[in-house]
Amino acid sequence: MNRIKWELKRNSILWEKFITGDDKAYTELYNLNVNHLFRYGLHFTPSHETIKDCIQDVFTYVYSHRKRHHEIKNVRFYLLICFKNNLYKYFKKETEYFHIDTLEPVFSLDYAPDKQIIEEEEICEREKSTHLILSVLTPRQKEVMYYRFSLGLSYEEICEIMKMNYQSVRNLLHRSILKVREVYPDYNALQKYF
Amino acid sequence: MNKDNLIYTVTELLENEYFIDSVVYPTKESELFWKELISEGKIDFRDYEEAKGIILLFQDDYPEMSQTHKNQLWSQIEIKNKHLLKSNIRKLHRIILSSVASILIFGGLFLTQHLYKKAPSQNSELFLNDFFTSQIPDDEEITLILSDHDVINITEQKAEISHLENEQVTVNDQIIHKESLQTNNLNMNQLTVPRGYSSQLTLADGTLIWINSGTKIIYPQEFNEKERTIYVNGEVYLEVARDEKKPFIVKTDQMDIHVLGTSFNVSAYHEDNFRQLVLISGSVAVHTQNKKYNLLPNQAIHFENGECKIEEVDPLKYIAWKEGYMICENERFSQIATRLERFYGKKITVSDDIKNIKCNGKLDMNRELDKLLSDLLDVLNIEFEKKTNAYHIYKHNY
Repeated sequence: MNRIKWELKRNSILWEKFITGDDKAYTELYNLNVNHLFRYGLHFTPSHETIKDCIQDVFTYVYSHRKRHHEIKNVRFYLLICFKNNLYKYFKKETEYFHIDTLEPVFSLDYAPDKQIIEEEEICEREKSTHLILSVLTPRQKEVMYYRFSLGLSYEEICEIMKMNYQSVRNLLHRSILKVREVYPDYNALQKYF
Repeated sequence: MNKDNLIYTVTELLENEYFIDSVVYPTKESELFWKELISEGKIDFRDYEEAKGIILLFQDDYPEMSQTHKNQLWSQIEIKNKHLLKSNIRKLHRIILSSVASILIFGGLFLTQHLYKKAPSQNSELFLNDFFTSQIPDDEEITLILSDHDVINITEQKAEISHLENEQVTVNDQIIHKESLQTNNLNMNQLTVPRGYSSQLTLADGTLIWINSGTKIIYPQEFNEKERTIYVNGEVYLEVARDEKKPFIVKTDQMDIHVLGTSFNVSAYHEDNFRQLVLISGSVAVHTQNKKYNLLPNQAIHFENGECKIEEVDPLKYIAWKEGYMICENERFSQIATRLERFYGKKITVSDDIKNIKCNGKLDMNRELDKLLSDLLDVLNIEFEKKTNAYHIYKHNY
């Protein structure tokens, strides 16, 4: 069994135990998913504090509503949705407070602080070309590609998390792939160097 | 090669869930599977590489959360959960209490609580006085005295102590305490970090404290409902977990610091003739005997010889010690020697003619003291003499 499937199954088992009152399962759910939520959050904001606050809200929400929960097909996905909703709420509060116009967090692929340092100091060729390819995509195109190729979400799940209908998600993904392929270094061109 | 004869094109590969899986989490089996299709001519190698390359573009190489932060967040979650649970129970209590009208029980309760609180506080005043004025003997190890009088000696040079839940305590990732204690608000823990040692402490509310050499700190086993108070003699850097309902108070010999959720560095060694606080983020109020000061981020407050000075500073300089560095800006050599003495736990004397040399730069205190001093020789034109556990530094004469 591969890693994605194993985690999916493990999460389901833990979830079932958790909603019947098993606190150990709750702890393990946290340990199994916290890094995924954290990394996911880094795509929307560089603020570790904001991300941690939202993760805290996800897990306390889930805990206080444990009696009302029922079976969930994909637990990780459910937590991601909770997290994203919390993040949007958080941003909304912030924008009201600071009177900023940006209404929602914007998805990005290079918020991670470590990456920025590398860029400043020395950009190796590979990093450079990756950056170049990714720069042709809009935030939403990056987001959809990330869900599909990094998180391995299904089309139905992507519809839910991006609040779009099935056909639009398919189109968005299709267009994104075409765009990336346009700038993707030609294999033949690369061959000449060797 | 004619593309029409191929089963999989780049787009189709990218549609294939097994292919995505194989790229993200490759196994021997999956590698063999795709290799075979390529050798059978069902996939063009170039298409395979392109599809794989595109998927790899979107993989996370973002950092994971450190174990400390994971633990810290977890304890915050547990506290919040308990809090939610408690507030539900409290609601229930209120209903029961209001329906049973018994003034007697009420009065009795109030009286015992009152007595209970008062008795130890007189003792504790004496105790605190000693805490704020006495120095740590040099031959000690890091010591943690838990509220049930359990004494834990830590032999390592550096200790990481975490209070995970109410009762669980870990030292350098080992659980050392799990029996449940009879907790009430008066139970205090004391941590002593002698010269030459350092520690990091995570409190049950998620607050992180870095403790510099030669520092003592007292904190309750469990914070009470109104506030979170700790006592410090020495230097600490704090990242206080935010809780509007429970202000965090750091008490030192000459000032009290009130905060909600911030990070700041405070230096209050009893033997020093200055006290200093640097605010990194958030806001703090500093209470001295007769005055109150408010600080903004990147400001430092400095008390010396009865004078108070607030100035803008580079906070990195003041918290470099927690990473094992010392940053000096226009500092007298004697001051640097005092800090080295404290950090390494070795006696350092400096001859009068070099005490006032002004120094700038960065010192790596992860190195041994001998090496660090030898580096300084060339720069400062000095010599040092080493005795057992003591150093004398003097001007180099040609």
